[in-house]
Amino acid sequence: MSQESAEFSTVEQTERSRILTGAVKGWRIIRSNQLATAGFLIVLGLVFVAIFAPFLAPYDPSAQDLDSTLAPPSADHPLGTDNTGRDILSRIIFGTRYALAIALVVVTLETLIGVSLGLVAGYYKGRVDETVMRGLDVLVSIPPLLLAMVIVTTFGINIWNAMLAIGIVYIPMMSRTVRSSALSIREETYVQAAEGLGYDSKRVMLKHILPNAVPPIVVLGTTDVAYALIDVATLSFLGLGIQPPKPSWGAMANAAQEYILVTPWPIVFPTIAIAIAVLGFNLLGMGLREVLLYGEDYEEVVE
Amino acid sequence: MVSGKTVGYLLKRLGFGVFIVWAVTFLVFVLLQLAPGSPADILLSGGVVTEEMRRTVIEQYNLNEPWYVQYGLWLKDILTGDLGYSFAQQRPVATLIADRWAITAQIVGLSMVLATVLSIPTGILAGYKHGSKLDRLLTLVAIIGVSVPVFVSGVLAILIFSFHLNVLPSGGAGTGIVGRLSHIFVPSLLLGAMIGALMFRMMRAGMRDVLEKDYMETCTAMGLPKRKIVVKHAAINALAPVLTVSGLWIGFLIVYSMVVEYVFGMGGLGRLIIHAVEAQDAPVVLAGTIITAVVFVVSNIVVDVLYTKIDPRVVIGGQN
Repeated sequence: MSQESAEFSTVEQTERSRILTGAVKGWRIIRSNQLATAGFLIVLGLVFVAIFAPFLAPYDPSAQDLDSTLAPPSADHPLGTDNTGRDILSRIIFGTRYALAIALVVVTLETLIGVSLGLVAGYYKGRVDETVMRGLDVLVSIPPLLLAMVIVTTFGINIWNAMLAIGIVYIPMMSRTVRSSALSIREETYVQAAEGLGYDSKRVMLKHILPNAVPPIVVLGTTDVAYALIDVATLSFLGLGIQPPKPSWGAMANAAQEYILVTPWPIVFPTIAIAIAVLGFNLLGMGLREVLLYGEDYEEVVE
Repeated sequence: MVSGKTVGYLLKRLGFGVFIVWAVTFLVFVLLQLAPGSPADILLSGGVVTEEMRRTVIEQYNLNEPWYVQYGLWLKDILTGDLGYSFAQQRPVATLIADRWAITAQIVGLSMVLATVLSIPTGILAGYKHGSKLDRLLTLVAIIGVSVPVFVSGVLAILIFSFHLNVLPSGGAGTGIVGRLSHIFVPSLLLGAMIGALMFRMMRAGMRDVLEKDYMETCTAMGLPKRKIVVKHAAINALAPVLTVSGLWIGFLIVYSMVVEYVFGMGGLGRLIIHAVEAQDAPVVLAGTIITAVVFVVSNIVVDVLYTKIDPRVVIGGQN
């Protein structure tokens, strides 16, 4: 074993232990708040269901059984079947994947662009700040769902277009939050010191300001997952997002509208699934907000 | 009392509002140019296209001119109230919107009233009794309120009230004041509950912040009755941010009102715009977006003016 690889493994170890203490810290923060704990458990459950969907679902989500269509809940089909006899429970289980993947794409887009713009605006202040913020004010005046509709109309009904549109309209909130953190953090002594040492502005922004602006980003990102879930589900329900027969919750509700007078179950269960998923992220976001942003006992929890 | 400073500030806000509306029209125009297919195809889609229609649209939107001429002439049309022509529906867009905006406006208005009635008193109470059982219960209800999308609560409400209990009129928008109210009440309540839950959260947080301020102790020390302190001093201060944010929510409300109208089968802007998106009827969707932006800008200027009435410390045109 060369010295180099030995050194490498210690670096790796400290990195691993850092992630571990990070996880422990995160868990302590979550556990200290009832809302956050409840939300975290729901989110964890959703992630679990999404990963193990093929093992959890009793049926193939697209297998039709034309002998039992629109069946009410029974022992065979715990949540009933839809108009082509597909098992609703299995479709809801697979729908978790769509919901989480889409919400993740939207929030990642929002965070990457929103955080960069916010950092730049808050760090450089003055004219740069003014320009960025005024530009974002234009986006604020268009509701996410409406911009999604415009994009879908001009570029075609397609879930990628919809996700892109929603992600873009979420940017201003993230930028404003990061900007206001950056504005105050840049006045701290350690930032002044880093600047005094002659570090370039990119390094100061990424290594000194950003790490200290993380709590509000986490809180907003979590809540925005909830909003993204609502917006994408609404769009799909209107027939403008994910299209049936894909097992997305919104698309399932859309397809079930026609049969609402025959049987309510095909529309009731997917909509309840949406509400539970949104509730999970909202609870987590609210709880984190209480601890990270308002928490008197934050220091206590982390130490 | 209107000072010169206030007038100057309002003019500045107005100028910025004009800029926003302009920027939205420009954004919409750019999207039309960037979209796959020629603008003529996009403006015409949604119906059978004849060569004559193509010629009409090219002429009407000046599609043979350079883009800046196209944009300039289009902007001029919009300013004179000509919002374009829906080839899919064979009607001018302005007529289509004029026939339908009232229902949407009524739902937005009523839901705003209901949201205020539901959220402000409960928000004051929860913030004042912060940490109590009542506060926790109200907070939980509010979280559930923001977590249920309006189309979900809409579908469930229709199932329960119209089909099972048969107490609600289903479909249509009703005629006469009573008929209209009975039709729009439930949709507005659902929308109001969602917005109200957000307002509640802000009001509660605002109360908590204000009640911790030093001047609250001063009020107590001066022997003012508790009720007066909470309502007159704390609540008024906590109300200001809620007002600002409700201005920002107006566009959001319009769009979700469209969703609710669609669910309840009402003939407002919702059905018009959503069907237009389905049919790829671009002129209608683009006009809807521009109008929403105008409403947004105007409401926010109104909120700014109201702000000074609520909080006399805010000198318009001063810092912030």
